[in-house]
Amino acid sequence: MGKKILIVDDAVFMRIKLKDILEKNGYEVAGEAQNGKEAIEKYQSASPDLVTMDITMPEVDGIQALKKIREIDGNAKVIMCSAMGQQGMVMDAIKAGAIDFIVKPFDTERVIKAVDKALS
Amino acid sequence: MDDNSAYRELFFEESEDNLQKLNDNVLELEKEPDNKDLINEIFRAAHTLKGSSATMGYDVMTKLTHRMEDIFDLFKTDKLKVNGDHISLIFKCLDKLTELLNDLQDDKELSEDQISELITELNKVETSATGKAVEDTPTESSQEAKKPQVKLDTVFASLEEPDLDVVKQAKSSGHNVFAIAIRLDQGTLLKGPRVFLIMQKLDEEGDVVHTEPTADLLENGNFDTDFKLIFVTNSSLDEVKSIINSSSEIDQVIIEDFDGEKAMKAQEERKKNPPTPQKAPAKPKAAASAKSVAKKAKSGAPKHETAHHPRNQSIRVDLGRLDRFLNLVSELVVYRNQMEDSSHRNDLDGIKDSLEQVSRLTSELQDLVLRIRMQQVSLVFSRFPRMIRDLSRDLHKEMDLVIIGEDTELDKTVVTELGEPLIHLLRNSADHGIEDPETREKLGKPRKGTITLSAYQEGNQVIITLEDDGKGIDPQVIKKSAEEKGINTEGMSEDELRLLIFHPGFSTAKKITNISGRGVGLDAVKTKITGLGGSIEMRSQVNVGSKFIIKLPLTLSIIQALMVKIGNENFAIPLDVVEKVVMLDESEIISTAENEVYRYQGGIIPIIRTNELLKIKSTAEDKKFAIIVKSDQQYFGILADQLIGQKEIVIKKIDPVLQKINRYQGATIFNNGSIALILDVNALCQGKGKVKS
Repeated sequence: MGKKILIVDDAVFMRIKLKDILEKNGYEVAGEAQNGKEAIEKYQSASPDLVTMDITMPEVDGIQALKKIREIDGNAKVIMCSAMGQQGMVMDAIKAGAIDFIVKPFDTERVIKAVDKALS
Repeated sequence: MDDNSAYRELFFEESEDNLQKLNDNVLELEKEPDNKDLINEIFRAAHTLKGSSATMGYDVMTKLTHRMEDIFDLFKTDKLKVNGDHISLIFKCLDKLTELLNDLQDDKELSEDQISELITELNKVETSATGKAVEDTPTESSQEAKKPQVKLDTVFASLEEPDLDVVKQAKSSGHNVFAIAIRLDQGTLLKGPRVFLIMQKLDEEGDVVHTEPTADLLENGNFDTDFKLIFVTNSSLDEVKSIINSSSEIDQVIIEDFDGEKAMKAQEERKKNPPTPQKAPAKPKAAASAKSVAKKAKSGAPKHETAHHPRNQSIRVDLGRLDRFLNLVSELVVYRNQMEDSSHRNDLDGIKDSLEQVSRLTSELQDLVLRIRMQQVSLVFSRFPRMIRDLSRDLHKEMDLVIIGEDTELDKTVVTELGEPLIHLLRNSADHGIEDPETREKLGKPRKGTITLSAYQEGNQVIITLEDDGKGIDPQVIKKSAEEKGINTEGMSEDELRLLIFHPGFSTAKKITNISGRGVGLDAVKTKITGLGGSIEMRSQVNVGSKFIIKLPLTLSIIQALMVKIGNENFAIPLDVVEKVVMLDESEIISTAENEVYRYQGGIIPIIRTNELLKIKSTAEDKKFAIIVKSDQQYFGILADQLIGQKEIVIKKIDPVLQKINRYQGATIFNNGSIALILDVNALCQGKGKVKS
């Protein structure tokens, strides 16, 4: 059985792209959330093995959601998805317990490497 | 780069949404420059655009959105105050993005030139805010073009005695000390945070006592791909290795036991003999060639797939409607099966029963499909506030646009076609209608003009009105202008004079502005609207304002029609133009000098002898039917030999060549398979009108 991953991003385009990458490489997408609030809810209902978390999102942003999820589950594995120019926020996320991060534009190889490592 | 062609449609759809969102929000921002929520929302939309376009590999678009995002970030952090010029510049960028998206949709390659001007402007704004010159962020590809690399090793360059002391102490108290060299992947982005992540993980298991380059440089990402450190820990070498390897984008790691004396010696050695780059660095080269292959594939392969695929028109459908559709179709299948069953048993009553259900279902389906094709007028209306904003800046006039009823629905085709004529009318109102603030004040009007655009449904029609409180259209000015152009205005009423503005080549603007063009406009507007099966009227009062009223059919493809016979041929006349049908005797038609007319409601109206016009031999001798139709606010009598009745007909397109003769709107198919042409009443009557003048 493939490991379960929760995808969090406010752009449908990004979610679909990530979903394709993950599913083609044998992972199961346990759910998708389009903002931090949904992410926290879905983390609890779907209990995924890993979360990919966008940083900039409406309602509750990725860093707040990360903190909340780590509060709920101290072992939660969260990989941040960031873009160029977000150094500061990525650092904040790492301090808050993100285990890794990937930088957009997503490239299949990089995404899979990061996910493989995070789950090994 | 991955093949992204599968995501194209989605990308375009979402990007267009984001652009519209940006347009709306930026417009809002101009009114509330301090609204932080708004700025955040704008920032997010720009950010998403950047991320998506980067993923698709559209570099030019990524670059522009990236720079725009920088500006929004300055707004966000209060380093830059929002002002009108910034807003205008952002709008220019948004327009450019729309252009880029269109180009991409047409499979055109984008070039940096398309955005260089805007980038310069954006740079200026950014520089003025930060006081720093903006360095042209090198694109990732240029960073990828790396010089050949030296072999990774753990030889340090700036070890000093105090470092060694720390190491000695650590060793004596039983700790492990490792020299670690790490090489990040080629082209790794955000190197600072990457190092930070690794350091963070190491810090949990021990102490990093020395780094090369220095910690500052590392955290700012100011290094190539390699860095070295000395790590004091209780963990074993393998444990440290797995800690480091739990982070991604690491190309190579070397971990060795650290020996202070050896390290100092190696350092001295290195100073004398700096390492030479390897001649054949296997890894980077392979990576580079792989990349160039990938690039070739990117520019070459997908092109073949997409070169000729025409731009898809898509429509968003409410899921509820689609579900209903499915229900109806499954019901239809049930009755079809019943019908089959009945026909096997030769059960005529059974067939009739099912047939009744089938006909009910088909009309429901028909109705539903039409509704699925319906779109809200907001689809076009939504871009107008922005336009009026730009116009009021360009024209130095103050005006507001009020939009009412933007959720009114119309057939998709009509909605899309509606944009152009409405833009024209709006520009006219802004340019010629609304006066400048000073004049308005003198007239006792508020300084700010108001343009009201409203839409509502009325029966089978949608009415769109566009009203301004400007100077109105003075019939005398039109009269004068018309006479200058050699148009005979004798005996024309004020209303008729006003109608002249719809005539080809008529313009009342004293000077040509680039806002509303050279007056080729209003007749084009009229042609477009009538082409959509609609009509346009205008009311105006000097110094009070003008009002344009556009009436459009709810849907284009199915209409109510009056079926008539002219000679032995069947014709359809759209019912919405028919006022009345009267029976008349040949003797009631009066011949004037150049026209044949008929007395109707106390006035006289022109008679159109369709049989002569269409060259058909009439069958009725003296008793005829006159179909009284209204076209362009005037009545006409269209003669027909026989009435068949009222019918709902499906409009089929006819050959463009046939369309050019300006007699028929289309054709429809009868139950028995025969064909009837649909008369283009407006064209017939206007032809007549021209004869008159």
